[in-house]
Amino acid sequence: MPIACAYFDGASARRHEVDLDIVDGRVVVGGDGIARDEPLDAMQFSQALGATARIVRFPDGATCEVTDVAALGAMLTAAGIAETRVAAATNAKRLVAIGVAVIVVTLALGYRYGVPVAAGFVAHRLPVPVLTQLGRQTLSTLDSIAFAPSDVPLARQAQIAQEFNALRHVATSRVRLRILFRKSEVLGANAIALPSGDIVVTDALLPLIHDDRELMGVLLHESGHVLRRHGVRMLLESSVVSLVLAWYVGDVNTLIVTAPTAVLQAKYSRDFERAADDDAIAGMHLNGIPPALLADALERLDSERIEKLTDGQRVARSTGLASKYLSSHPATAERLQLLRNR
Amino acid sequence: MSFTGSGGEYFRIWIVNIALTIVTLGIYSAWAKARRLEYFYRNTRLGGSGFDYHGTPIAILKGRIIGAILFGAYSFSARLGPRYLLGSIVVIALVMPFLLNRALRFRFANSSYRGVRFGFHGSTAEAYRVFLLWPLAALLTLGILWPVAHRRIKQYEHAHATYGRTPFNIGVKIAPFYGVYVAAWLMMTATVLMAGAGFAVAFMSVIAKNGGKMPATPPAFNIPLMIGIAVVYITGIIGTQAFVTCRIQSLVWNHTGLGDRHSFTCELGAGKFMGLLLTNTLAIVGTLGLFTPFAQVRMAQFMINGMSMISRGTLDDVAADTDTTVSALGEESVGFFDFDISF
Repeated sequence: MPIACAYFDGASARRHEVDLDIVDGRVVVGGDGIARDEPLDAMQFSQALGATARIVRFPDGATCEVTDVAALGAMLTAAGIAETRVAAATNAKRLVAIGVAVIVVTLALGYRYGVPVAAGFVAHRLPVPVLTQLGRQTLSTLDSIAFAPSDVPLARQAQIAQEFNALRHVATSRVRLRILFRKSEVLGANAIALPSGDIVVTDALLPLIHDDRELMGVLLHESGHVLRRHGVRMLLESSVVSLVLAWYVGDVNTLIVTAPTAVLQAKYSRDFERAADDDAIAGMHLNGIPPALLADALERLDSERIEKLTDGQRVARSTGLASKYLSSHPATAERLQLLRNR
Repeated sequence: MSFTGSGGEYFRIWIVNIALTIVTLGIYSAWAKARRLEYFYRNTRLGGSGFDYHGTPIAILKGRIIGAILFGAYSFSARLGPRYLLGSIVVIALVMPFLLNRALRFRFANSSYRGVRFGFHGSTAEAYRVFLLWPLAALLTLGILWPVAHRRIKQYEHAHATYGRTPFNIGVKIAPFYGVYVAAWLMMTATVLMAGAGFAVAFMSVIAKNGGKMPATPPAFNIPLMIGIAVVYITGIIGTQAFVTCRIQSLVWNHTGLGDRHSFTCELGAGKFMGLLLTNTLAIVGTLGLFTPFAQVRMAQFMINGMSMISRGTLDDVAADTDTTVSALGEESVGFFDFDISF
């Protein structure tokens, strides 16, 4: 039974209404002034794409466009040409369901385990000069936009550095740790760790410390970030998440990519904070400091921060959603409990 | 013109593409792209015949590998610090016009209608003028020259395109471009003013309740009001985006012709497009991305159904050009940097 289709000779845009048939291993096309007869194995048939028109290509560039794809499929099967496996999979409902499962499971596992493991693997193999360069660049940027020279007396700075240098650490690394002091309006009372091993303590943090052992707890948390290379791992993980999401959702709307990316990345950040807390607890035990002291310092820091929140942040806080899924740190209550029970 | 694809059908193609891409660690993505474009091209129909896409997966894969290396180098150097970031932006800006030119050539050379291929013959030198110099001029004039730059880009894309040996032509004036952008600017200003007024009301009511002072404890903002402000703001942004997209697309196609006997009309409703963007966004977020193929089909239906071709005479005498082969380097590289080059 021949199939009615359109024939184009490839040299002009003229459309010919023709009939196509497969007879004894030859493709026969005729009608509207066209008469062609080619061996079947010289022809190319485009893959099936649902009900989409399929293209039959002649070796000389001429084509037939077949819209009755059911008839063509049957004709090809009768002639011994099977559908490609991809096309068959697309038609099979069960395989499509398996596809959905593969995607959900892989994306979930990749997000939960794959990306962190891969980022950790790469981060621990980066040469120290690269880390130093990354950290120094961040420091010089922060120095120009967020930091001013510290007002903490040099003797006090030296004392803290000496106490810190005497500490023993849980993890080892080729990165050299160094304590720096800076004054910062933007960051308030804070300590931040840079990939280069520089740990910056802001002036506003020191008045909130009642016991130097508390400060050592804070610094052990930060050195945990450095030694486990959390900075670079975060860079790598967030790049992967945004790339994968952009690929998966496609170019429908940039809004769809940015918002979930932030939520997904925040989880990695919280995981790093928990890991750094664990390191701080182990480190404090190692140096004979009760972890509860770090809890005291955190509690004071937190109440200080709540007073300085902007109104928008307070709205977010009062709804309770933000702290759980958007925040870069785990909830303070959770961290305090962990520190006091160990 | 009409788009005959359906969301349910494309969903199955999409899901198989995604699953195979994951299983092959991304290598299948080139085959996936070819299948996706074949689906969208062949379902774009005009006068009883469909378009066709001819890009081969291997060419796409090669382009993708080079694109990935370029993009990786860019992302990494961007993290090293402001000086490196600036350096890589300059390098990208210098390479991009070349890549965009090659991308247009690849895309056109691999598109056909009625067995005759399209082509693109814009020069690299002009690509540098329209993709680098004019946007730079727009940047230096704080956007005042952007409509001029946008018109130049569209002129470059349309004036050098061919269908077989028949050239496309475009004769669009600069005034309507400014008309669209001035209206868009007014819409954005109105949106910001409305959101600002909403915030002012919220603050005033909080301060009034607290006896004229800023409260020390977290104030209980009026949540419905806050949500209202967010809705106005997001609607304003998406609305403006929809307006510009639809008006520019219509403007350009309404002034485009093919040879001297065929012309196009394009009517796209900005309101309808805005609804489409909003519902697509919500549905994609709500289904964790599974709505994406339906969203892409709805988008194609909207864009393609709005276009028509007016012909005096037939297309029968359009003759094919001699075949040219083009590499996918440009198209795949610019794809990584999120440039849209769809015609």
